[in-house]
Amino acid sequence: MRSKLLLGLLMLSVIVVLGGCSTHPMNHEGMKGHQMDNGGKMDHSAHQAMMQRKDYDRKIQSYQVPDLLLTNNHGQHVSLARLLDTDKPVILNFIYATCTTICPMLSMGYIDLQRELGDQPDKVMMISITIDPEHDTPEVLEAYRQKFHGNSGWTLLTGNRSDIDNVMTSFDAYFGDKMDHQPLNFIRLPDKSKWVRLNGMINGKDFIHEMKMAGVY
Amino acid sequence: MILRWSLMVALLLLFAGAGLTFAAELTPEQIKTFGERMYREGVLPNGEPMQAFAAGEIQVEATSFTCISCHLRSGLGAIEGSIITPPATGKILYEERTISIKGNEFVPSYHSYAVYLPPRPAYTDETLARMIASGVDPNGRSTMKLMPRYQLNDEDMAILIAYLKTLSNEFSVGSEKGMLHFATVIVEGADPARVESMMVPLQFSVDRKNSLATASANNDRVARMAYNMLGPDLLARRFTLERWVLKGSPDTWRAQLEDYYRKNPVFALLGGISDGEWEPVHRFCEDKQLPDIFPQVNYPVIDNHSWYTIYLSRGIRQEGEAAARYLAGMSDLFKGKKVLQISRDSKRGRTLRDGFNQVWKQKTSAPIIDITLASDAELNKQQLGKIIKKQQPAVVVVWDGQRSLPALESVAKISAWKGLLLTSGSWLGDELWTLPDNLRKKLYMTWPYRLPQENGRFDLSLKRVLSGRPLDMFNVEALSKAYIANEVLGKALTEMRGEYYRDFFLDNIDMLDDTYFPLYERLSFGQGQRYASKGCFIVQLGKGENPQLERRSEWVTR
Repeated sequence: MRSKLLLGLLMLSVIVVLGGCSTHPMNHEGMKGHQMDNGGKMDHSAHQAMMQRKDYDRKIQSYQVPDLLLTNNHGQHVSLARLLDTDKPVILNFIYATCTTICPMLSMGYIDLQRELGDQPDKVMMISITIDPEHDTPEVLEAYRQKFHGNSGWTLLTGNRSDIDNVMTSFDAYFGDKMDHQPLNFIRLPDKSKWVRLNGMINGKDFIHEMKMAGVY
Repeated sequence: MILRWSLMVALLLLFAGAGLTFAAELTPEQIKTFGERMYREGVLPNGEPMQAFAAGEIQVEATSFTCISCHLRSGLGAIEGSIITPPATGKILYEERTISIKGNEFVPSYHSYAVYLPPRPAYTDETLARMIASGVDPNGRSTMKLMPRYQLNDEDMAILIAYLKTLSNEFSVGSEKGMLHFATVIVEGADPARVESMMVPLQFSVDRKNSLATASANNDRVARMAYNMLGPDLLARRFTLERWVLKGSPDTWRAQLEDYYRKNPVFALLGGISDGEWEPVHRFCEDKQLPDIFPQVNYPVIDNHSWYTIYLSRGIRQEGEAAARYLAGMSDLFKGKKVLQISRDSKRGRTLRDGFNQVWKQKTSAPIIDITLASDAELNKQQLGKIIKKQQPAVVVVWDGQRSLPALESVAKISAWKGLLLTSGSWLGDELWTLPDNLRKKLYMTWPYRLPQENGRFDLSLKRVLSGRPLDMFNVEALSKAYIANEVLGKALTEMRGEYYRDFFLDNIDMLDDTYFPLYERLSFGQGQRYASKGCFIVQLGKGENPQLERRSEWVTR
């Protein structure tokens, strides 16, 4: 009895001392299928499946985008509904400035498109919405745009946390924490009611191809 | 210039030899200088940006696609969302990768990157150069889906590879022989009650970790459970915690810190406390590449490039900044009207004013009338009343403590003025809770913490480190801040899989999820983010004898 109590106390102390088994970014959609139950090893078939996985998933979905007031990279308040009320093709993604891997890749896709557009940078409306609004002020977002040599066709938006969460939820892109986010690109189809949802690390060629397929470019 | 010339000579001498031996002729300092710049900034030794091909074919300058952005500063990689970035250090690349991390084969840990990646043979200089240049790993597998390929000539490639071989290749000092050494810096003059309250969680953490190490050595069942949670190395490690007390004037602290560090070169500083200056400690940490997590200071060093100190927030300044953001968002209030800002001529007053002004000028062009209140002067009710009636400012901001409360009360009574009155809630201290009723209706305050009535649910967590002593024996603010340091230390160490590099320690903190701890509404992290709490409420005091703070803004206002 006593030893059990001691054991319990000690394990409690492990949790207290070391913050417990924290929820690390690994614990999320996309990895669940690979959680191992055999002493830390993943079986060969799981590896195979992972290796042969398609680069990205493509779905066509409708989203009810809320009308919210956000702030752009120039510090101006903009209505999201008014921004989207355009006949121009629209592409949209969720990023944050201190993101390590996913966001630079997403931004690179935008830059590649920008190059393709050449001297008509405003032909497509490129929108990036930060999922780290606490850190990403308009100034931070503007610096981010400049770091990637983005031009005027690229609008970056921040806002209040609850508003940002609302937008993410409306695109079914809310993952609870920014560290758990997914590489998502959204392309609005010309009839404006539907979006192509691309989930995955898509390469430049495929991204342009998808936009052409969507009739955007 | 001399460096570059000697590099040229070294390269010329080696031109006839095998490409990848170039770097061997460079001094370690040259490899560090040039290699680090390539790795961290994407800039070649000749000052030009490295060229890369990302996402397959897109040619980009590597300055916006650096090695560090994925492999992180330590080179030990990261897991972000569904994306795994494996380590890029020579030590790990030049070893075969099996299906589990060596030494951690039986740790059922989901943050162990190796289980998600295919095994591969050890890299050689040639295969590594090929992978960096063409995106093909020793398995013949393309890495191009995630990693750009970099266009480098042989010399630059050799430098980069030589740098990777030095990156995180020897454990940081302070982590020798099964130990992890820590210290906390205490600036003499800090309130002893706060100092002792800060020490409680830190010492608790160290003592319990050491008990666990002892128990694991003596009891197989404890050892097994600890192994599963902490891995074989961390479970056996013992921690030490030393107090480094700094005395006298701040310009003498450097020598004192050097002395402490020489005697005991610790792995990291935990917490720390000062009622005033902190910058010499911050600079020392930068120079020694010594992490300090969550010192309890009002005046953190504010910049965008320091790396080694992670602060709880931007300190006092954050209240001034938040006030400006909040007010600038109420454009209807201004319409050509001014802000009257009165600040006490003290470090606290000036810091609040500077924070306010900087954000205000970014956000709006509405003019500010700045009045400085001498350090020994009273805020004169009559004069203030006259200025307000004449200028009719939209907002009166007073950066002072309880000393100016009588003047604020008189301002609240001016019926001919309909503007908004704002001050620092944290500066009012206990006086905040007994504000007279007429002031409660009028006065807005900055409050850089979670509202007290919503913080009670964390008391249980705090009590866990008190070993039965009641919470009211302690300074709960200092206790909470140290508790946060302690928790973050634990989270980072459990992610480190026995790799004791200071940069990896900070990399792991950078990759933490948003966290909900006592005291602050929310802490958030990210690569290079160094002020974890970004928020501040604007509040008013409610009615009654036991009033609550009432929220007038979100935690973060843009």
